[in-house]
Amino acid sequence: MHHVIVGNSIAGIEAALVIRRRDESARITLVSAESDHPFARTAMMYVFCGQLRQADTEFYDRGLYERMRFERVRDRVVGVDCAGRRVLLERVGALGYDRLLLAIGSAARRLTLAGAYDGPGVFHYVSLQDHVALDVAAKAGLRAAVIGGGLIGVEVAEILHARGLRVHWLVRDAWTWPVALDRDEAAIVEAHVRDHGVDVRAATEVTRLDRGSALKLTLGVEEPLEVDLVVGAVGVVPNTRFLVGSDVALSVDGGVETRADLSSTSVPDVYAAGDCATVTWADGSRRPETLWYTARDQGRAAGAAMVGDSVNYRRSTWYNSAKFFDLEYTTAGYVPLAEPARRDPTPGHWQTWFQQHPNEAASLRIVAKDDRVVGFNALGRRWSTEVWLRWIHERRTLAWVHHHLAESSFDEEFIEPFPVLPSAILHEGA
Amino acid sequence: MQAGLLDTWKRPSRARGATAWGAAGILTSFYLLLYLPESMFTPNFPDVLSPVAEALHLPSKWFLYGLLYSIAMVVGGFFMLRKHGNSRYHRIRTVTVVTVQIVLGFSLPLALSIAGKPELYLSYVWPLSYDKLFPDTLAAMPAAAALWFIFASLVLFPALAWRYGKRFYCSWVCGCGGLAETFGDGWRHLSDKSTKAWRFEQWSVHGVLVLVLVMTGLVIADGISRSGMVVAAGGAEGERVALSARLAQEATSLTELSVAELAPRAEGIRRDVEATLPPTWVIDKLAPVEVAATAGDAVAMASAVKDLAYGVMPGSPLGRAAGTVKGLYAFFIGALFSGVAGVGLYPLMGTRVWCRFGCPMAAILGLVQKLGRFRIAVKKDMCISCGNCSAYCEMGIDVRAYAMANLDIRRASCVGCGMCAHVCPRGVLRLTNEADVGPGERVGEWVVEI
Repeated sequence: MHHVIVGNSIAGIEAALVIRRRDESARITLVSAESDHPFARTAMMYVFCGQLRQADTEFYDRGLYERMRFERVRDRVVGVDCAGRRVLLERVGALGYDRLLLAIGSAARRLTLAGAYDGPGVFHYVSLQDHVALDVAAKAGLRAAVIGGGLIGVEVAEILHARGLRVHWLVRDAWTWPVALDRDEAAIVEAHVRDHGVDVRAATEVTRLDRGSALKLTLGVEEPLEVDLVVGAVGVVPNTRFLVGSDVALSVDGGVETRADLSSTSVPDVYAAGDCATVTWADGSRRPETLWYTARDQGRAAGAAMVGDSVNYRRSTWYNSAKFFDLEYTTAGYVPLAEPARRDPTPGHWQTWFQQHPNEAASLRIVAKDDRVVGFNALGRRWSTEVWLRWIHERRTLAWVHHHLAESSFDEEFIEPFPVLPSAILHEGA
Repeated sequence: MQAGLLDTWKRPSRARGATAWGAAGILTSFYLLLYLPESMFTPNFPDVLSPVAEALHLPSKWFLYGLLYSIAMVVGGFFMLRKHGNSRYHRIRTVTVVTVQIVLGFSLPLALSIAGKPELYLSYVWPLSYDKLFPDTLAAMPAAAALWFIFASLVLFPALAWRYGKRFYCSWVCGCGGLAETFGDGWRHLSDKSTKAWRFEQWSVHGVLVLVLVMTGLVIADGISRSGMVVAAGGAEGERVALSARLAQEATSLTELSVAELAPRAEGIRRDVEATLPPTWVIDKLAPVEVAATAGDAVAMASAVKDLAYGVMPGSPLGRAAGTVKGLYAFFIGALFSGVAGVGLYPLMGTRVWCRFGCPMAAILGLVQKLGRFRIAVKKDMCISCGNCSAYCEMGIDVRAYAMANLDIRRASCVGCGMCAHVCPRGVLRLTNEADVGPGERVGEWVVEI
């Protein structure tokens, strides 16, 4: 049995490991155009800053391929011939498979500004190749515009600023990362990023890009901004262009359609996992879920399916974390946001308790529905997501959670507990 | 990103570049100059540090070393806090370990020495300071100090390691650890993370521990047999034992004498020795005592008389074995390993070369730690595999492998510096002494309907 896995990042390598564990004799080939060894994409920014070497981001030792008898093909897959059971490669021709896993991740969403790609100076930060290109171009003293208010945007703003560029962070929405932060939380983040010396501009849409000796951006109707380089950080899209025209069905957003349990795609013996797969979210919606954790879990589920196990991938209760410069973010459960809403809350009695720390850049939001806690959103402090998810699971009341809050602290030792103050805001709504 | 870690791997001084090799050369040379002049293999090596100490009015070159050591820790601690002072844990820990060095590692011994009393380094106990359970060493110090060293070595420090992890010592008290955490902080990422290094470490660090245990056993056995001899041995042997005891007593009282009293005292010692031992033996062994007496150096004379006290003892196989092991250990482990290699290799192999591969204290407290309460708790399923924790672990522990596998970290070698938790960008790690409530629920296994 020949298992071919396209993509050797977390989803691909985890699938390969599951297959090897279950089948000693299977032939397993990983195809990647990006890198020889799986590495933590989440850590590219640390390599950019010289905090880590590229090799430090490789989360399995370099002997893994040999030990697990994984075969490696460094090439780009340009198509899939499902009838002939082979993938088409850019350089070497074709590679036959018995089972195929598509774990090709995502690519940067391109800017829609006219002329953005007509010349040099516009970058992204998703693939290793993006990283190398930006690393070469980003010189101390240059001016940079980072377009996009999400996680990649803030990370790129951070690393360019650390290297000594003058950074303008341009966010189209009313505040930064509105899919995860509410206005008051975003205000803490923006103040923190500004304190580091980055020019943060929310509610700012880039409407034009002109080229001259520098890149001349137009913000809104007429505000000019001249920079030396632009980084487009407006999200990612499934890396599936090469599948257009194949038998593998894609959803409207470009993700590979999968069965809800991840047991296959629209084509027998073809599987998908990670950023490129359209999967069922905890709320029932169908779209790709571009998270490190879910890519890992999906890769394991798909790998099990490939060796014939019956799998039932089911998204667990939401959790995530991030870091904005020095400010950590932790979330668990369901946290509906005022505007724009992440999802429409189901009917019921909703309460949102929000408290900003009086002396620190830190906050905590706890959401309850019908007096049981369903979600947490925290900035600044460290919290045990495990404990929070258990409380959500145990259907604890808001008062109970307040009383036990310190038990979920994950701060370093010697730090005062996060205070629960009467001044906290309690918002009630239907 | 941790601001202080910017460009760590891009600076030659911190990435094994030419300046790092230069720094390693300087540190290694300094330690050779410090240790070789007194060693059993190179007794005639020129001593260039003692004159410097004398010029600075310090009692000995060891106080010059202590002074430089303390300065390195204060300056290094300042830079450490500039990098990682945004963490309260690291602020408290760094200030504590520097304070312990200044007070217990330098000021107290200096004050005792100036007052003419024997120097005591209360923060170094057995087995790191391996002679602190030797009968002769204990007998020569005040009873309270002797009790402290026995109690701390055998009861207090192991108990604290069980309750709080060996970090209480290795990262909060110990001078070797303190230098690594302050002066050496910029090189912590250079530790070898390979499993090969881990295997070597297990053999080497426990090997040194076995050496210390054997040495201590030999010395204590020898001490017991000698004390028995005082009573049992008659005739010539008994006289030599009694003479040795008289000389040892003499050595402790010499520093209280005025310069003028030294020469007559040396004369008295010569008569006493000549009365007991054959003249051929006496000539060369007495010379250092008389040279020191003529120079008016009471401290050197006391040391020479102490040597003489050992020298006149009737030779027993046990005593000779104990003496040989002590000498070899002092040179190869004490001087070359913990000093020359331990600090000299900072810029090339990271800061905990001695602590990780050699320190018997770290070995014993590590074994206690494995049974104790300290661990690094891992938030289940939350690791993003970035590798910062492993990269900045000075003990070469692959922390990330544990975090990815949802396993709490309970490694004997962990010195609990806390840097893994500090540099983790997702807050996945937490140092804790709290009792483990058992395996946590894997969060990926269930879902709550809203």
